[in-house]
Amino acid sequence: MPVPMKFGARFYYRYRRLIRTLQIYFVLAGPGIIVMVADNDAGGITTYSVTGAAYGYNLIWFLILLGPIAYFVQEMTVRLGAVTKRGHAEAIFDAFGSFWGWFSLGDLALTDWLTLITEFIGMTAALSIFGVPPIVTVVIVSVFMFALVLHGKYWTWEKIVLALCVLNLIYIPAAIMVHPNVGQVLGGVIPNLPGGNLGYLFFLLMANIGTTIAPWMLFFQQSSVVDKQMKEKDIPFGKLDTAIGSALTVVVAVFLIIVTGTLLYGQQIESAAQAAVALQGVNYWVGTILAIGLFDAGLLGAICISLASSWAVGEVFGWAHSLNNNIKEGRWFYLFYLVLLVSAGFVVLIATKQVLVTVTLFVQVIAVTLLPAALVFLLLLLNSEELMGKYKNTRRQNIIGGGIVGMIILLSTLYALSVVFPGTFGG
Amino acid sequence: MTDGKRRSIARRLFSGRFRPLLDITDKYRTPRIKMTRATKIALLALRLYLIFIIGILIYKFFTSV
Repeated sequence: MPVPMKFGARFYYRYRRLIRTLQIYFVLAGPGIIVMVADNDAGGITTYSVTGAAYGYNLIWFLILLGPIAYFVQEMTVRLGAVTKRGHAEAIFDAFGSFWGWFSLGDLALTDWLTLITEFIGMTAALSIFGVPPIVTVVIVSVFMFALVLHGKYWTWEKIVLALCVLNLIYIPAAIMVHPNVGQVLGGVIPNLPGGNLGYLFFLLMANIGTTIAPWMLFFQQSSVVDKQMKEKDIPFGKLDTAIGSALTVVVAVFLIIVTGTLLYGQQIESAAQAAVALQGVNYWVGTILAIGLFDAGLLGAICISLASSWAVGEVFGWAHSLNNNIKEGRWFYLFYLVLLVSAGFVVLIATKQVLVTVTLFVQVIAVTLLPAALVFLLLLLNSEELMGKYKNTRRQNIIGGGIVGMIILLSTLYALSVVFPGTFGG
Repeated sequence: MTDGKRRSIARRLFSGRFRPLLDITDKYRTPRIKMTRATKIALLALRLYLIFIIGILIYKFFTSV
């Protein structure tokens, strides 16, 4: 019976190969999923809550489109990190000189610090719903985040953060609990532009793009790939990791829109915390889930953003900057990380509400000064034969990447202008 | 004043504390990427874009204060 045996052997070989591939993937998975899920940070959760409340399921198609866009941008950082073994900040210094290097590093540090403040605002607002005072939230979160990086193992840090990423999927049961009309939800998958105030619609579309691609993500994933010591041969797994992450980020966004689009459609919502309180009035547990999700999103964002800055500064200053370093080896790296955390938390505790609102608006504008530069540098680096060798961008990747980068720059600039000059687009 | 003289004056002014910053600036003084025409155009466009954005921010700051 030679034929069945051959078939059996082939099947067994393929099965073993699949298991082996999965085993390698689970070892290499992490940076892509973490960066993409953390992309749905406190600001992101607010944007999706507002979008769902304002337009129901109508903009689901737009969020689905943003998944591949985020993938194409982040995938480039995987290749760049794996091939050059350098973080994005160091790569910019090396390739474009100290002027662009200092500009990018300074802008990143400022943008990240301001964004970190907004994450603390989100976390304190979320736990305030349960009666936790802001000072308790800030202290506990700061201690937890510092302890998370201190044990001297990248692997442990990554697995704990991946567990926090799983918690981000809490919006899926919440969406099931609100019993949405499946037909209407599927209708939102088909591209359409809802009526009403076009200026406001445009503003929200741009806000969704702004929350999907943020400058810290480029720096974080590239540094993370380097700290994980991924090599050229690991690039396909890094790409798969990023693709899974981008799918997860879309899933979280869509399910959150289903929640707020079902229960809060037509209500004036301005923040995720406000949405959680409003939801508690309709369905207590769904509102509670939104508050927990908001806290988790803020925490994930804070973890990644503070590390993105610390890695970048550590790379450029030549400090030991790996999470595999203990506190003695990487004291400057950990000190910088601690100062970032404590100062951002302190600002949230002492600043007035008006100052915090200004920070939230200002960070979106400042990010627009860094994002185009970081994206253009990314494209230029990926086109360098001497740096990337056979991993440089192909013509197809350049057309897609160039188009995406051009669109992001244009829309994020318009978004910043609409924040600086409210009503510019009639909203 | 030559470039070298200017650098040495700056070094004396910011010696000590700012030494690491000057060292990093020196280390990465020369861009390593091949300056093709496309790269030069992209960097020029980026400079103009940043001048535009920062100009708008400065305008907004002075008109709203």
